[in-house]
Amino acid sequence: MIAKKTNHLIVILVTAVLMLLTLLPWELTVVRTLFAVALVTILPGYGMTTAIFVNYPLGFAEKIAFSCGFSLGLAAVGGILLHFTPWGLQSASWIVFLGGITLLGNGVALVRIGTTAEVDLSVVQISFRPHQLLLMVLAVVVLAGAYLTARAGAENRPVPPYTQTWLLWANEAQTEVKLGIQNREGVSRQYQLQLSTYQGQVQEWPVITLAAGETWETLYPTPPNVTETDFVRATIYRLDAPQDSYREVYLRHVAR
Amino acid sequence: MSTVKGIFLPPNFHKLWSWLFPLPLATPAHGDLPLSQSQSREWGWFPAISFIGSVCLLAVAWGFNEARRDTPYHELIFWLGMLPFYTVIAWRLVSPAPSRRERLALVLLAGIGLYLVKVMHSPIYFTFYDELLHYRTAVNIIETGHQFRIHPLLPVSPLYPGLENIAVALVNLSGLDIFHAGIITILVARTVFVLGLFLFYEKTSQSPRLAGIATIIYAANPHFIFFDAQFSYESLALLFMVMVLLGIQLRMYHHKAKPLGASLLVIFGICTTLVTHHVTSYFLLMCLALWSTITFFFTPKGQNRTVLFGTTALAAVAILSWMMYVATITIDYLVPVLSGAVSDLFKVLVRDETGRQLFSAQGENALRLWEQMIVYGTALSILLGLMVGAIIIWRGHRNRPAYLFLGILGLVYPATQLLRFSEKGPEIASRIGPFMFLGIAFVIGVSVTEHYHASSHRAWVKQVGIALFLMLMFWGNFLVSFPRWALLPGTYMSAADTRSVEAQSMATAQWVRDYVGEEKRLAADRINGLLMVAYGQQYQVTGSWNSINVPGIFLDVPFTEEAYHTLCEGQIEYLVVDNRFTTHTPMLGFYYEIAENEQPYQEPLDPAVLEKFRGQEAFSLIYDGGNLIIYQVDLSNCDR
Repeated sequence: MIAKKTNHLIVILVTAVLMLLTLLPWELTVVRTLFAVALVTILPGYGMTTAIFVNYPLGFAEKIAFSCGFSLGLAAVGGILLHFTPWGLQSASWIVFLGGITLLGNGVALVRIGTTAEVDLSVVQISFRPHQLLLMVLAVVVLAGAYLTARAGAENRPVPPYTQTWLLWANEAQTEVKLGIQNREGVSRQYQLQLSTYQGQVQEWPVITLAAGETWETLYPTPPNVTETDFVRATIYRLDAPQDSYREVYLRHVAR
Repeated sequence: MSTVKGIFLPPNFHKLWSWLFPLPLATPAHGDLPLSQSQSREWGWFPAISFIGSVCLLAVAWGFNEARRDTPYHELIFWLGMLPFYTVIAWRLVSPAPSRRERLALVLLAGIGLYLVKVMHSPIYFTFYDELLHYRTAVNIIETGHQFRIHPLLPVSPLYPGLENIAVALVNLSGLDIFHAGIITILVARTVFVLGLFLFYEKTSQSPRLAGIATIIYAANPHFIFFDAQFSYESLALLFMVMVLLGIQLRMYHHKAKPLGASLLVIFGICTTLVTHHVTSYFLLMCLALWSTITFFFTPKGQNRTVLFGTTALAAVAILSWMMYVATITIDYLVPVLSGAVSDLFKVLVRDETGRQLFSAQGENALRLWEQMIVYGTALSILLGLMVGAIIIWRGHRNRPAYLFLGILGLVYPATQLLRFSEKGPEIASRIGPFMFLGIAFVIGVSVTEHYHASSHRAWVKQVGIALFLMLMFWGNFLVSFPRWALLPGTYMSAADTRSVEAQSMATAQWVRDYVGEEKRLAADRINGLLMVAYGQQYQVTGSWNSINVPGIFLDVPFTEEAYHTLCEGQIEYLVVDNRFTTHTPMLGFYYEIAENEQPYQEPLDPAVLEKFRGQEAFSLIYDGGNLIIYQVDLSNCDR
């Protein structure tokens, strides 16, 4: 048995400390994530549930359901309230809003519950027998394995190889073009790139070798003869199949 | 012959009368254990079933991976995981033996396990159409720190931002990305929804056994595995709706003397539902109105009437005010769908039009004959369960308004099946499903608990039989939950929502955001447009929302002056062309927008259709990724 108030005192202390820690510019990735999940999904509703159901002590399932339900609801409605503040929806405003409700809810709960009230913790005891515990551990391990299997399968799913090529005006005045190639073929590739206009080829780059996932990009001055009736064209050949153009992009002069 | 006040009655009338109107039971009896045993802290079979369930889910993951590689037996492996998972939990819940604790744990296992099926279907990014729509709403909120920014494809979504607010809170506070924040949000929502549903059924029936059975039957509804598990507003709003129903039960029967908590729960539930999802809020209002009406006719005047009428009035004012003053667009959004379905159905009923043929899909869309038999079997099982349950409720429980309310809600099912014979009706019938199933699950649960007790003759045979009956229902409903090709992941298909979302389209959308900028007006097909909106943060111009003929730009050949004017009218700066349409027919029946083609596509597009932009003076080809190319449109001649 434990004094019922202790739960709420712990929640208040932990929330207050974590609110401070989160507001400080420290990198606390794991702690921060855990705190965020708790602050959005359970803590604000926990105090609120105890405070408003003080006359009808709830079972464990009811308490969990109402704590999480209220917490999700508070975040859902809270977003709209924060929208009307000058700060909007951002980390600090969420901490103040959700953290504030957590402190307030648990504070009210502390006041409303009697000083002598006690909670029977045996309700939440996970009283597995040894063989049951073993089965549960195995279940969790297999479940994690199932998720990781699916994730690995999706990440390694066969994807058709492709190369992205682009040609854009580099500035409003259209004095330069931006040319780029990204290799998403899954293996290293060698490319040949030519730039031309109606009048013919204006530039050919030496062989460009790109590892899988690598990007090549350059700026090139717009050829002088490119006007409204002309265009600049970039043609790419793959060195392992040089007879056919592999990608082609072109850019017309746009009147501004 | 007998007489009552001079009226002659047929023989055996009294027998029929007393069969139809026996005295209702003083307390409901659903074959529960005595309270002392029901409250025991034994876990029973839960650990063993958890282990079996996890092995089943491993088989599901394996089936998904085989499907991604398109190997022959992927479906078999998948079903060998899915069906035993559901059946073994149902089998145990049907039994009178488990304690309340075990039942609660089992329904949570079912709810979370079936959610994991959805997560394993798309474990690294969102692939469902609606998820990507809500992704964009969340991005808008994160980028601006404020609500209500216009959404090009789902303008109603920013007006119901409850779901996105939770995900944004997680993103802001933790630094997680939207995908993982969304997974956590729905996981918690699903867990609490299952808990809440169990508690609602339990408070209604006083029976943990009926609550467990009804909850597992609810999990057999067609939307439970995918539609209501995706990062979409209905998945969350259902939880708030159930909270309201549970709050009313507590307020009326369990927390009668000091109702502060229950009343706040109801009010809070209504507020959160109305800011989360329009359709759910309307169904909540309808449910409350139905429950009030039943209470008015079937209970004497008293506090319960006041509670229900008050709640219904409050919900009506709140929900309709939100619709009238904040989300007026919802009316334009829903009315055509509803009126279209009703008018279609009317035409079918007066034989003005031939009804839609069921299972008319061809090719990979088509269900096999044995699958069709399962689907028909499911519909018959539900009808049978409803009929038996409805009779039991009428005979034994008609003095309980909540039973009658859930019974009538369930009996909407046969009527909605008529909608499936009209052209626009199936979507409505499908959308009603999750709400109607609140009643269906309860009514069938009642029929199960009344027909199988521990003392039943050949108890184990009945237990297995009922579990198989429920499995059939689960199987059939799952088969019709999504198009056949969307049930499992797999290789690329054109215009096939989840099957069309793949790395190359996503990379192209990200390229557009990085190199072209945000909020550019572009035209594209259904899926690339969606990805451009979600990951590219662009504005997709569509016929539905911008009232211009977007499919005509892509499909009409040759490229004409008229098409250029359409581009001008829509101020379309970029065109995204997917060359895979020249090798694949669209799985949904259209590439760009519904009704773009008079006849269903028998062949992929002629390459000349998509090549027509090449060489036209108005276009620059700025991006070539092989399958996907992007043209920049020169709109400088629009005024000429």
